[in-house]
Amino acid sequence: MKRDGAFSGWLALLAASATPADRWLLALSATAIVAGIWWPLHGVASHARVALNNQPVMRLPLHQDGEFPVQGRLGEVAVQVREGRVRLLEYASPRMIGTRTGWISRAGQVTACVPCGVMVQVEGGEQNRYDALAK
Amino acid sequence: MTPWPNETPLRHDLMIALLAAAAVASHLLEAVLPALGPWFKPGLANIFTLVALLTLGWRAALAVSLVRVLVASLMLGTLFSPTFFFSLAGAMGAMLALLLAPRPLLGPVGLSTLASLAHMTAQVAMGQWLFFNNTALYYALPWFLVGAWLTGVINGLLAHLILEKFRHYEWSDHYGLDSAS
Amino acid sequence: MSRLILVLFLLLITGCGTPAPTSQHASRLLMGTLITITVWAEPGNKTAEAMRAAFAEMARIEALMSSHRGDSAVSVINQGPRGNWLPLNPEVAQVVEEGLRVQARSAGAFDPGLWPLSRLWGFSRDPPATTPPAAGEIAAWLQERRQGESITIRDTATGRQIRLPNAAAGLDLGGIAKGYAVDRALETLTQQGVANAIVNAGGNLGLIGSKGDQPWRLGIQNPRDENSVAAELSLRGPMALVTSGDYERFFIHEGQRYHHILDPQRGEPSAAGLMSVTILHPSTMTADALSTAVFVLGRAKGLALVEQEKAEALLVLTDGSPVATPGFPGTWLGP
Repeated sequence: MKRDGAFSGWLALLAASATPADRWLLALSATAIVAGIWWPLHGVASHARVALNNQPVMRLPLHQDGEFPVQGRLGEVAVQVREGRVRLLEYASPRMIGTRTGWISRAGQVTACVPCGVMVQVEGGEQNRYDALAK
Repeated sequence: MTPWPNETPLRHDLMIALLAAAAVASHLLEAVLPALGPWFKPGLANIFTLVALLTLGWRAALAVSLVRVLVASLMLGTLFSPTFFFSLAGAMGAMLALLLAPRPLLGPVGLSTLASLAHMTAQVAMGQWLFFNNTALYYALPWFLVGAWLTGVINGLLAHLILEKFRHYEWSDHYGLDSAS
Repeated sequence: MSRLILVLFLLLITGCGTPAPTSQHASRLLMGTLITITVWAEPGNKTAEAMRAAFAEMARIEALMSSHRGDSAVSVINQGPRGNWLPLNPEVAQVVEEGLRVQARSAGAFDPGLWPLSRLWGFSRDPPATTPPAAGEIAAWLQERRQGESITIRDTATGRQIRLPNAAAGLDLGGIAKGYAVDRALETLTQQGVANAIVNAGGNLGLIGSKGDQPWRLGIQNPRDENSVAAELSLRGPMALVTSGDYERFFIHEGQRYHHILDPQRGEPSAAGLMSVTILHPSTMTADALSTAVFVLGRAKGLALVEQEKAEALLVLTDGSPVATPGFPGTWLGP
C-alpha cells in the first residue's frame, strides 16, 4: 500500500470512508480543540513580573522551574520558581530586616523585599481566594 | 509454508500475532526517528490495534495493544521507565476510547481520531503526574491535540485501506494451536 | 458537511462580546512599602490611567510628608528652629491634627512627633539598622522629651503654623501618612471614574465599592506565618482595614526581636502583649493611627479606645489567641 502523495486523493478517501457519525466527530472535536486554543480553560499560563525599584526587570513563566538572581539594594536576592509558584529568597544576612519566604502563585499576588527594592507580582493563572490581605 | 494470504482462511491467532508484530515494528521505527520530538509521532502502531478491533474484536485489540507496548519497550530497553508508562498510558487511553465508542456508528476514521485524542490526553495527564515540576504540558494540550487529530484522521484512513483489503478474505474462527497452516 | 462547520463556527464566535469586568492589579514600591491597587472594572486604558494617577498621588504625598526626604515639607519643619512658629502646609496640617487628636485620645500611645526617636532606632534607614541604640541615648531622648510640651498648631491670617518644643520632638507621620495616602488614592480613583477598588499600602487597606454583586473578600495575615491567613472578612466600601504588627519591620539581635512600633513613654518597641492589631473604620487615616495606638496601649486600654472611636477591631495576643470587638465582622481561621 503506497501513500498517495496528492492531497485530493486523501480527501476523496476521507469522503468515501467516513460515516456520518465520523464527520460529526471530526467537526466537533476540531471545533473543541480550536476553542481550547482560543479560550484556554486553564487561563493564560501564569508568569511572574519582577521589578527592581519599580522598573520591570524580568518576566518569568511559572511553568519553568529555576532560580533567578536580582541585584537588589542590599545585595543579591534570588527569585525562585518551583512547581508553578514563585518566591523571593533573601539570603539571610544581618543587614536585611526580616526574611520573607512566602510562595505566591495566584493572579495579583505580590511579594517584595522592600529594603532591597525588589518586587515580584504574579499575572495570569488562577485568581486568589482573597482580593487583598491586611498585614 | 503456503503463501499468505490467499488460499486459506485467515486465522485469528495468526492475525493477532501479525498485527502485533506490525504494531511493534511501527513503534520501533518511529522511536528511532526522533525528528518531530516525543509528542508529535505519527502513531502508526495504533492502526493495527484498530484493525484488530474491527476484524477480531476488542480482546484481540487489547492483546495487540499490550503486546506492542511491552515488546517494543523491551526491545528499546525502556521497560518500566517513564517512557514505558507514557506509552502504556497512551495505549490504555486509546483502548478505553475504542471500547466506549459507538462502533457501528463510527467508522475507522472516527474511531481512530477518537482513540488518538484519548491517547494524547492520557499521555499528557501521565506527564503532568510524573513530572510535576513542569506544568507547561497542561497549557500546550490543545496544540498537542491538533497533532493528535491530524494523525488520528490519517491513521484512520490507512486503517480503512487495510480493512478494505481484508474484506475480501475469508476469516476462520480458529484460535487453535494444533494445525499448522 | 461544510454547512455543519459553518454553523459550528458561527456558534463559536458569538461567544465573543464585550469584556466582562475583572480584578486588575498593579503594584509599586512606594512610601517604604509595597502598594497594590486592585480595581474591579472592565479592562482597558481608563483603569490603567486611574491606577497611574492614584500612584502618582501617593508619590506626591510621600514627597510632601516623608521625614526621610530632606526636601519634604515635613523635613523642612524638622530642620527648622525649635520653639518658633513655622509655616505649615494645609495638607500636612490636616494629617498632623488628626495625629494629635489620636495622641490626646490615646493618652500619648500614638505620637506623630517621634522623629528623633525613630531616627535613633533606624528601622527606616537605608539600609535598615540591625542593632538597638545605646540605652543612654534612649534615656537622654526620654528626658528631653518630658521637658518639652506637645507639638501645637495654630491658625493665623497668613495660614497655619506649627511649633515644635525642643530637639527631642520632630514630625514622623509614618504611622498615619500611609492611611492618609490611601484615602487620597481612593479619592483620586473615584475622580477618575473608578467605583470599585482596593488600595493596599503595605497591608493597610482602604476600599470603595465591591466586586459587582459580591463584596470584597479580605484576609488578615497570620502574625507568625506569612503564608497563612488568620481571619477573613467580606466588606463593601467605603471602609478601611488597617493592621499593625510586630512582624512588619523588625530585627533580631542577640535572640531578641526588636520591632518598629515604638512606645513613646519608654522609647523602645512596645511590649503590651499584642502581636497584631486590625482596625476597621471608614477613614484609613484614622484607622492607621488607631492601629498603632491600640498596639501600644495593649488589650484593655486599646479596646476602650476602639469603642470610644466607634471603630471595630481584632487583636491577636502574643499567645496567638484572638480578641475581637463584638461588631467585628470577620471569621477567625487560624491558630
